[in-house]
Amino acid sequence: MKLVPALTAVVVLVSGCSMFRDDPALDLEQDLVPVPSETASLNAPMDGGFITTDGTVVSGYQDSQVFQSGGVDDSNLRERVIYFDSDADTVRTEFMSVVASHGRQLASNPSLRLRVEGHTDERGSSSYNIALGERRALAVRRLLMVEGAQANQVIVTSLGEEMPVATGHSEGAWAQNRRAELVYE
Amino acid sequence: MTRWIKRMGTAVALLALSWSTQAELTIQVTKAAPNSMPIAIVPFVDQTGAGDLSDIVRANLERSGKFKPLSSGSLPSQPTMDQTLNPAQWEASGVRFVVRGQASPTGRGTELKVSIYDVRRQSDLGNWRFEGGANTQRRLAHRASDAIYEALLGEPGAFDTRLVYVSTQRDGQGLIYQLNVADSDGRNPFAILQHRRPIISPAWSPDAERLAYVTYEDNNRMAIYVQELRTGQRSRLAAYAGINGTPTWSPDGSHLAVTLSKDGNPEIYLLNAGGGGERRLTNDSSIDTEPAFSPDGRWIYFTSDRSGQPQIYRMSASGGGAERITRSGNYSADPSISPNGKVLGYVTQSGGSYRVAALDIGTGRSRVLSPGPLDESPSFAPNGSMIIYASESYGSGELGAVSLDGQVNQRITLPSEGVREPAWSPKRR
Repeated sequence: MKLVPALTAVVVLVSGCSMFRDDPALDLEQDLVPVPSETASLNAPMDGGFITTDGTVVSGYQDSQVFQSGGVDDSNLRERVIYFDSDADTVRTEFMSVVASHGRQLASNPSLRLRVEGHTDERGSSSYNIALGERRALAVRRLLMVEGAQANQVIVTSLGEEMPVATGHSEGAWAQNRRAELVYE
Repeated sequence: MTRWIKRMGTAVALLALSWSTQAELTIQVTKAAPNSMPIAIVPFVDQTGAGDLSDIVRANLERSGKFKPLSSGSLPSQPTMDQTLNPAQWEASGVRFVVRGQASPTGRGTELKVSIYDVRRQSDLGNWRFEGGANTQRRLAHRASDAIYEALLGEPGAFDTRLVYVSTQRDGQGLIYQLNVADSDGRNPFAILQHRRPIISPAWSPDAERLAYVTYEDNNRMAIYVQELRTGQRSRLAAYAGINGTPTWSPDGSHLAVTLSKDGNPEIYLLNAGGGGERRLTNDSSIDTEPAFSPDGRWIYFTSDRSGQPQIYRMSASGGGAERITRSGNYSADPSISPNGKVLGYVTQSGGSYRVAALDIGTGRSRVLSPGPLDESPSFAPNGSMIIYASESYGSGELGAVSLDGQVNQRITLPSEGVREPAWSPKRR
């Protein structure tokens, strides 16, 4: 789209005079038509990917396998969500063994990669909540590493308040949304 | 119903979608100024066949909450611009000012002439002529509205501007996030990006031609993108490990301030607008985020919890020591600076309610403006008259806007979709 230099005669004028004040002319041949983005990177397959014509998702999470640890099915490994108290980033005692199991799982399977997603409830500034979500994810990562997970196995990302699992506006909903999710990549 | 896009080989397809039936924002004045000005807007003469542009002007002025336009039914007469007005007739209708207009075709598009007649002085207060290319009629009407607003209120209008916002829809598989741009009256909405993962923190370039925003499209990692609205071309500005967030442009457009946590915890960095040139501005073990430039480019305001709770600070735009700006309460975040640099808009919490407040930077006095309980993301209109913000109060998310004096309130909604992360564009060129 081409920009034509605008004409900019300005006649300032009040009261009674019949002349017109000229506004800089709008110079747009095709105004108001933002064009959608074009980039090859959008084409990459990804979790929860882009949406196609018929409304289906390109690819969803493929994270349903339960890993084996030392030949024994560790039921802790089925637990993938760690909940947090309001405004806190400390892993609660009740979730310690879950995190530890995943940490051992990673330690004994060096090729595994885990993404820890930090989430918050909806209260307060969304950008500040991104920072709080990261603190939660980092707290989980530290515990995973205590159990022997390597730094390059655990990626941390924060979604702040952007992806609630519960949509209400009550403490009950908020408690479900203050969480870290473990996603094997 | 929104129609989804074709996903062809490349994502050019990505957003071919919304040309079809994109939902429009509804902007409703829930509280008008008590002294809103009665005004008559006579239907414009239309020689273009494009339709009467006075409807747009009337709706704009009414939506500002500062004018009370007569309904077309209660106009005593409908004089054209060439005809002589009968002042007594208009005085009896209770208006001091009468707006008339005429739209005519030109070689390249449309010309709109507008005048304001002062009933008491029995003379024109002002006349304007606006000219534009093809398909600029609505913009001409917005520019005319800006001129009328400024002539009668003494401050510039903000009608010839746009809004960016994120809409969300839920389907069986979760939320769909869509980044949209619309005119200030909610019309002409366009989707520029859509994804299953959140799209957040859209920020206008000073020329209102580009947007920076944050997505999780790169393998679920945060990344900051800059997108040209006219061409759709976009580039990735930052994709470090950890947080890549809160892009905001320097007033001259040369740099963006962003939040990165690649060095351990969230800190504020400066990047060249074209990428690279990274410079770290804060160095503190606490959270430092949400940078906002002062309009003169001297200061960066930001949120930090270095005192134990989030508060707003400012530092020189080249970094260095920070001065605390918000002093009361235990939660102050998300700074937005008024175009004249004198007022800080931010989110404050008290009694469990999060509301938008405005603080006079000179005096330190602040005033809560929004009702709460879950308000956030304040953004100033480019004339400083209003703050638009996000509100979760009614379920899936909607927007509100409030005038700085608290007298005018608007409720801004999308039918059957959530809406959040609003940002008001600078004045368009």
